Amino acid sequence: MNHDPLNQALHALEPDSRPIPSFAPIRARIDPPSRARLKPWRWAFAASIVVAVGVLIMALAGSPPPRVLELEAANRELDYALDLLGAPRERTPEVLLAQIELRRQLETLGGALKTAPQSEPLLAERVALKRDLLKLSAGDPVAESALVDAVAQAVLAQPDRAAESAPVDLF
Amino acid sequence: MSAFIDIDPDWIRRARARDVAAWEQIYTRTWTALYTTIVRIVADPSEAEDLAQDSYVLAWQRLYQLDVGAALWPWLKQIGVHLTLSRLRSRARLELTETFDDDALGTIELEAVPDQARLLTALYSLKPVARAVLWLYEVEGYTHEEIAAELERTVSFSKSQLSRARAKLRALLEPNREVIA
Repeated sequence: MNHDPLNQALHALEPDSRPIPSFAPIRARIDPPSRARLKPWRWAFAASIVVAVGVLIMALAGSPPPRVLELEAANRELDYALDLLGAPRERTPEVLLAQIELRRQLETLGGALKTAPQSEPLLAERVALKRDLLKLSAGDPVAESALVDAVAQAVLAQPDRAAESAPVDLF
Repeated sequence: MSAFIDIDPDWIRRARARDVAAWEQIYTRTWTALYTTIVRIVADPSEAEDLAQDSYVLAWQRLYQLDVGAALWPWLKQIGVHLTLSRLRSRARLELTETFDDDALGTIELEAVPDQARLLTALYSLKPVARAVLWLYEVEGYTHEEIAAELERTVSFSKSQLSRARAKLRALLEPNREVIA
């Protein structure tokens, strides 16, 4: 027990008589109204919707089918091979014309692929066209001959394309 | 040391489980004591109310740190004191090196006010840090080591502030010594 008068006087001071303020400001800081109104079951419901939407988005934006992946990989390999064969070589006008036609078809196909980037038929056609292009670029005489004929036939089968396919104009 | 406040353990348990209503019950039970402790240090009712409110918010956020079964009141008051002294420290570092202006208190007319108010007026006329040291040591039971740690000063600083604050209060209350005897 401290017998110091000053100490005793300080201890004897009455607590402050101010009325207790409203708890509301503290409640607002520790328990915001919007969260307070949301009952636990509503939280659970909201969370389940978020999860469902997330799963749906992941399913829609998920990995493409295996076949599409294969075609994409083949396309990349063909691009690489065509780059390696990119050096100019002596070509006949027929071969050159066939190459131009194949590239035109690839360009048209590229436009279609922009709207349907995972279309298996379009991807497969692109790979086939590039394979033909590679054969022409590689200078395989047997394949060259067959391809030139096939491309020429295909062009001639299209009346509107036949008119613009005059090889003499190109050289 | 100021009076211990017993708090229903069920309120504490519910508050730990984030029951705001339980925290409000604890608030109602302890506010006057916490506010009184703070206002004795800052001598400003409005600032003391702000600090008390901050204390309840901070304590709520850190309630998980309170050991299960531990007394809540000393812990809550410690938070209040800590926030108050932090405010003093941040307000002006110069306060910690304050010197006593002996002439400043000479103008207070203590004769004109009742006993308790006279003592409070004298107490509130001390400079903030000196008043904080005096109150924490004499009433709240803090040691000089604890006060020095809270104020981030030395033990001798705390002792020196206490000695000067006591001398100043005594000088101020001398004509009315019977009030505190």
